[in-house]
Amino acid sequence: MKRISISIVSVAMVLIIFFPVFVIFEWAFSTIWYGTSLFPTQLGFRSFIQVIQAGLGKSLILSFTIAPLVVLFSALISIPAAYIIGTKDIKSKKLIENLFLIPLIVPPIVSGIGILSIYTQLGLIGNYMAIVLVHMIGATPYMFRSVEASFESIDPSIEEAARVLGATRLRTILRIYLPLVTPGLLSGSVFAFSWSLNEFLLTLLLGLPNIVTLPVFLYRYVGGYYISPGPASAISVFLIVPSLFIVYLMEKYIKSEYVAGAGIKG
Amino acid sequence: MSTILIQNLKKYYGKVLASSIEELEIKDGEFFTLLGPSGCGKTTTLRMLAGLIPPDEGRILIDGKDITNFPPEKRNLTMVFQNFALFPHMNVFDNVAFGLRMRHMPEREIQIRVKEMLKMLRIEELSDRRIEQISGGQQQRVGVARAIAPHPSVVLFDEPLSNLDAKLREEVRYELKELQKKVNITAVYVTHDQAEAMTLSDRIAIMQSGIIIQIGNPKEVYFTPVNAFVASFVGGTNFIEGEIEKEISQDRVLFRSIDGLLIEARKGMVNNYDSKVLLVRPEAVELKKSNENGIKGTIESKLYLGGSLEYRIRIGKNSTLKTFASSVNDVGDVNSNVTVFIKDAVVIKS
Repeated sequence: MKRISISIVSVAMVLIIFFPVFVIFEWAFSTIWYGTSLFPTQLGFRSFIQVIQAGLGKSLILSFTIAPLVVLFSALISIPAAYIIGTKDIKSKKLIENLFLIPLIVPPIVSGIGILSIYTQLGLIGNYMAIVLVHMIGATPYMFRSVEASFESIDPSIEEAARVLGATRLRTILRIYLPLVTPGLLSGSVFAFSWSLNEFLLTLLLGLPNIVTLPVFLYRYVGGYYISPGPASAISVFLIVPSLFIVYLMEKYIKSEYVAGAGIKG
Repeated sequence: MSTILIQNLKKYYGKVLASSIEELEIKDGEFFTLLGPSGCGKTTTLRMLAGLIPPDEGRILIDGKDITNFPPEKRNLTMVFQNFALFPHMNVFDNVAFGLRMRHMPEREIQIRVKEMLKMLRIEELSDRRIEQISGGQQQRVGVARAIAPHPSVVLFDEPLSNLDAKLREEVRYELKELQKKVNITAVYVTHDQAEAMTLSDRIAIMQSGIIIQIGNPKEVYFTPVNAFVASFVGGTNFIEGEIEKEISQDRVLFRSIDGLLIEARKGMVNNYDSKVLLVRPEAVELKKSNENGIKGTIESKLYLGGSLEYRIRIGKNSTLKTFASSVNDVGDVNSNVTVFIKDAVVIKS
């Protein structure tokens, strides 16, 4: 009974996740298909050529340079904060942890409209770094939680041992803590990266006309009263493939317990 | 190798006085132990020495230099931890080398020094092992090697053996004793285990509720404890209530128990005003079967402990004595009469 229910859930998960992805690939690589049969009538690269001519290259560069910057800056903010909150006995620790989650609770449309008026006044609409900052709103909480869990799982006497043996606080962080929180940092980076890659609403509100990331670019083909599944799917391929690749790397190089933010053993 | 001087050192946790030491000097090359039950302030004192917690009052001087406000890394002392606290992402070699690298020792000398340390602790074959691949006893040896490798002025030990099982504990204790003979280190050792304190220390300070109540070498502390707490903390005890009948000489007295028995004893460190009790260590009691000229007693209980027998002898209405005898030296069964000789007794504060 137990086994059967597990099998049913597994099959359902596979179908839910892979069926849409499969259809996306079908659309992307079809030249002629009306969507009425299981497979495209004619395969080809027409959709890809169409989106490349429409400016895919620029969007690719934007998306894949913004995301690493978002990862970098959210890591730089999160590491010191996670070190203090994860390893020191501080008052209202729970409160601070919850404050770090607020960005995920406030709907992006709400914060977006607020930021829109501020950015308009400051002249930051369509500014590259301003978009990086906006992506960090959602990315940093993931990064922080993941890194903090890693810090928390480290025995505090390890820091004391390093200090007593002659390491300054900075060297203790660099030589002892950083290597030990690397798994948490990596899993946080994956979340932050995919958050930035998939961020749509805030980028649309605050990025136009200069910053057309992949999701915003994709919106051109599905927005309003029309839908062109071919080009939209071609763009989606560039969003899906890196995600699948990252998941593959994580599976291969990082133990799954780290991904969950459980941190270091023993 | 340095002298430590502690002056009026105090630490409060909230309003509770966790540790208060008026004056304490630990000599160069001395193995000094803070012994006491959990919560007596011994670990707090050690952590203040290490610089891991700041004292509320007082000073700590090492070789005359005031280090009270120095961060831990500037104190040139190292520490062995109860839970080993080895760096999990480094192998054995790198753990031991850590303190040397922090002191910017040339890599060639590090190689030599670390090998020497690993050899001294008989773990040279573990050099390339990861920490999780070695046993608890081996881990603590790495912890000791790591602490001694930089030749610090003082090595602090925070209950280093209490996370090991009984057999390993004895083994590593022996290792520490050997090591102490080989390298002449100034060591401050914290433990609640009197056997560890006795075997390892030059001097022992016994702490209770944040203050030191007696300092002395293991023999002094064992044979002439200041009060009943110290007496029972460092060994087995028999307490006989009563009063000093008269002084025989400067340091010997005649003690009259409440049952009227007269026992000759050392005077110990009692004042006239103290309430007194007579301490008789179990091993200072000798039992004889024959009807000789001594204290008459009756065997009240007898327990076989394998190699030895534990007797409880009633010597009066209000007093019994516990003692051990080799199990080949059985003096009789329960209710039989024996003669009791008290080889050594001391009057202490109750």
